Amino acid sequence: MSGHSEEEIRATIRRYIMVGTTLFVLTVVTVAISYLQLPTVPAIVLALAVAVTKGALVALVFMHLIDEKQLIYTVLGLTVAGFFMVMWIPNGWDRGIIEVDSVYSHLPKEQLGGEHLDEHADTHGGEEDHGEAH
Amino acid sequence: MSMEIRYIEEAHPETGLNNSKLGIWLFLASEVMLFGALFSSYIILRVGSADWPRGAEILSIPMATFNTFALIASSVTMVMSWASLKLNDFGKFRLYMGLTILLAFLFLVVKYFEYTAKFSHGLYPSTNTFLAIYFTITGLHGIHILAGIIVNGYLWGPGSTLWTTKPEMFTNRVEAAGLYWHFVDLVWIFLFPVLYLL
Repeated sequence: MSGHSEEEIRATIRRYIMVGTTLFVLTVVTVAISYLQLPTVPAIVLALAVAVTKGALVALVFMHLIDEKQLIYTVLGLTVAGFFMVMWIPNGWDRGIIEVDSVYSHLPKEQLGGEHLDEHADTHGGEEDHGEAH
Repeated sequence: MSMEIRYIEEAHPETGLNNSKLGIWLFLASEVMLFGALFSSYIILRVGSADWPRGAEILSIPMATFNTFALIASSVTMVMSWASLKLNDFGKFRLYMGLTILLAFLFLVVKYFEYTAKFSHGLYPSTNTFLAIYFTITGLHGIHILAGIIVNGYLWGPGSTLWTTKPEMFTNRVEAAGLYWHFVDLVWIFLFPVLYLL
C-alpha cells in the first residue's frame, strides 16, 4: 500500500468502511444462525462458513493481503500447510494413527499416574482401556 | 558509533518488503500455529468427550456479541489511523488510534465481567473440560489484547514523536501494529462461534 495517491487512499478508506459494515452484518447473521437451533452438522458448517468469510475480509482488506508481495504469500502458504497439519492431528488421533502411549511409553508407570488411572478403570467397570493405554 | 537497522523505511531489494513488515508476518505465522494448536486441542477434547455443553448454556452470548462488535470496530479504527498517516493527517491518526485503544479496553472490561460472573457461579477452569479450554483460549487471547493496548498506547503517546523526524518509519510501525491487531480480531472471529454458539 506504499506510494499510493491521495485519491487512492480515500477510495481505500471507503472500502474499509464498507468491509467494516459487512463484518457487523455478518456478526448478526452468525448470532441469528445460532438461534435457529439447527442440527449440529449444518450449524457447524454454517457458522464456520460465515466465520471464514469474515476472516477472509479482514485478511484481504484490512491486512492488505489482496495486494501483497510474493514473499508474504509464500510465508502464509507454509503457515497454512502447518495449520492444516495441526488440524489433522485430531483425525489421526481418532483413527489411531497418533497414539499417546507411543509418545509417553518411555516414562515409568508412576510418572504417568497409571495407578490412578487403573483405579479409575476399576471404578467404571474396568473393561474400558483407560489403564491399558499406559 | 551508531548502529542502523537497514531497510526499515525502504523496501529490501531482494524481498520487495521493508524488514518490519516481513518480521511481523513471520511473527504472525508463529501465532497461527500457537492458536492452531489450541483449536486442534479443542477438537480433540470435544470429539473425545461423551458429553459437551453448548456454549450458550454456560456463556453469555450478548456479552460476547458486544465484544465482537467492539473488536471489529477497533479493526476499522486501526486501519483508519494508518490511512490518516498516509494522508498526512496526524490529528486524525491520534483520534482513530485513541479510539482503537478505548475499544480494546472496553473488550477487556466486558471480559472481566464475563469471567467474574463465571467465578461467582463456581465455574472455574478446573470445573470441566469445556471451561478449561474456554479459559485457556480466551485468556491467551486476552493477553494478546493487552499486548496490543501496550504497543498501540506507545504509538499513540511517546512513540508518536517519530512522526516529526521519520514519518515513513512511523507509518510502517503503525502498519505493523495494525497487522497484529487485525490478527487478534481474526482469532476472535473464529473463537466467537466455536466457543459461544456451537
